[in-house]
Amino acid sequence: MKFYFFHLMPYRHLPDNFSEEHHSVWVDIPSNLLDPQKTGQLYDEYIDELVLASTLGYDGVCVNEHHQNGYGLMPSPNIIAAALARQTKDVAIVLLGDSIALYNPPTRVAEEIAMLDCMSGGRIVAGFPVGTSMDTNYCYGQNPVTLREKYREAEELITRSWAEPEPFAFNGRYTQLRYVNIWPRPIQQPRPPIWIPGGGSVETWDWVCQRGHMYAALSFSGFKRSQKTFEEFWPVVDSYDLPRNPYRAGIIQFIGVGDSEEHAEELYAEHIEWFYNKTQHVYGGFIDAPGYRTEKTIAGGFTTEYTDVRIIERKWAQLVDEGVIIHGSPKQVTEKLEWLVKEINLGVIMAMAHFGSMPHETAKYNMTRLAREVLPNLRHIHSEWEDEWYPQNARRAPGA
Amino acid sequence: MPDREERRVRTFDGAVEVPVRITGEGPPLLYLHGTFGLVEDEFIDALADGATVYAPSPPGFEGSEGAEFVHEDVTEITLHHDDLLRALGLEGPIDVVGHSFGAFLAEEIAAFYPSRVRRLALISALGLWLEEAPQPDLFGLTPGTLARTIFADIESPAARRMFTPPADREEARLWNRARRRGLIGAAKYLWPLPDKGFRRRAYRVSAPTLLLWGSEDAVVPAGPYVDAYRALLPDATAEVLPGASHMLVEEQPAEAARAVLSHLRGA
Repeated sequence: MKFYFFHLMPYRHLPDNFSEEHHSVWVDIPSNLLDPQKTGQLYDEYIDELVLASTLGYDGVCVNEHHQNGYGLMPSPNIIAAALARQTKDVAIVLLGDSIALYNPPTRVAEEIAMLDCMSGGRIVAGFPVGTSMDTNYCYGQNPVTLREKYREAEELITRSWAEPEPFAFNGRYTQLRYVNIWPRPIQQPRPPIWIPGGGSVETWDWVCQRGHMYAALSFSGFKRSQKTFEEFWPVVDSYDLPRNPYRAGIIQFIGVGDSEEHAEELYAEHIEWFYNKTQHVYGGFIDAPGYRTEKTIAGGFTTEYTDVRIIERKWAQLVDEGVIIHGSPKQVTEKLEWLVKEINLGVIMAMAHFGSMPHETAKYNMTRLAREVLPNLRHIHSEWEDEWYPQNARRAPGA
Repeated sequence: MPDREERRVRTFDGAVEVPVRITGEGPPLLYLHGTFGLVEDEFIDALADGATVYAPSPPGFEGSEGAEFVHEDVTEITLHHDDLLRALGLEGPIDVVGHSFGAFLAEEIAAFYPSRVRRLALISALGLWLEEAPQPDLFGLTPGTLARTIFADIESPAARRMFTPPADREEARLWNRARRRGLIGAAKYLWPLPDKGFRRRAYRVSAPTLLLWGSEDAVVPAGPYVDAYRALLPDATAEVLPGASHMLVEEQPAEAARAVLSHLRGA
């Protein structure tokens, strides 16, 4: 098994009445809610947490890209990754990732990842999300109807730019370049491993199988939903005559470790409720631009009520019931995770051990107990498989 | 109710196919509907009193095929309309009327092919962007806000009709799909702002033009936008219907049709 520490970097100083008083946490969130001084302190804390994770035994640290929002303070994950390349040793640095349809030309992403791979000594995972509709269509103005085609063209250009030894011309529909010849080149040859974050569309599964990429299911709906996803995912892998290598797939999972379930609830309930009730407060009009989802998935998309209110009110008990969070004593968390990764044949867990409004000290506590008292019990699982999607020069954890 | 014929027309050498509703008898009139599909039956039937109304749906809308072949720029969508008029045998100058997204399409036909257009009517037209009068984001509104934005009165029968799905489950699914496909078809050309350069081509429009607006248009406010179009189209005349918003072809179909026909018959 591989375990990664995943950080969203929320702006955890949103006012208590944020959801009642404000339109949306994404896209048009008022700028006067943000204090740049406090933001600087948050970056310090959050980068410290990522660096701490690298020393505790996690196999890697994950950063990600979101725009104009209080949900995650990383418009550029590569800037955080640059700090981590210098401040961490051994672990994988997972960009999860760069929304490659947003960059013109996309070779900019190829260059930055190559820089990061050189700076980190070959420890980069290149993740390429399409990006949420809020980020891509509403914040970055991308045409929702052509976004996915543009994204796939960018993936082709970037992977070719790393692989081809000679300058070449690229005659795309969205990007035309007479000379593609990036400098520097990544240490990892022919390229860094590529992870594709997804929300569960069949078309994405087909594509990752065709391209040989790893599939990272980034759903916050909990492991019960993930179970359903992977019941459908693995047969698609079979249909391409590919082995069911568990490292081909990963999920993101909220985890809270304490002395007991009650203790974990005391420590974490407030912060995961904050995550849902504040950072999922996205105006309904920004969630799914016309054309963002493919025609196959639009059948029931248009609701007709004259209502606009979308206050997410999620409570701890419900989140536990749905499997959104796995919590309890180290033994309880170990048992649940062991059952889960065997049940759905999963080689990668991206642990959300910081979430929502969690203060620095609580995050360090949770990360540390998870790393020291849970993960060592699970390392051996799936050890018969080779992880083909782990950076060549990052440490392979003992037993993994 | 006048006779209706549904015809299917191919463009782009057969790669694209769209439905065309043909209503009435008389000189040909091309009618291009708006973002929400061909809903304005009463308005079209009124126009068909003395004209043969050709009402195609653009690529992407319900009933079309091959929309992905047409790229998201005005050149391609206007070539599509040139192909469409040829396929319908409408080679000579004809009257062209468009509403909302359809007016966006119509004004480009008139700019790219001035000799194709005898008289032009632009109703609640999209295609300009004024810094001093920013438009709401039609594609970033929840259904409730959208209804309040495009109708002056959301309790009116027209608004109720447009925002109430059929009771039958399967019909409701198809209704949803058609609505969604329409939004996708329009968003492809209007994203993220509807200004795609008509301003620079407007000098090419030679047809006498009617600018027909609702006084309460909350999408493209009548005051600033009618003025802006008049500045670009010196021969244009304007008529503003009191009490109507952006969906005036549904809100006041008889009055809107009367204004258009009066303009078309004017010379």
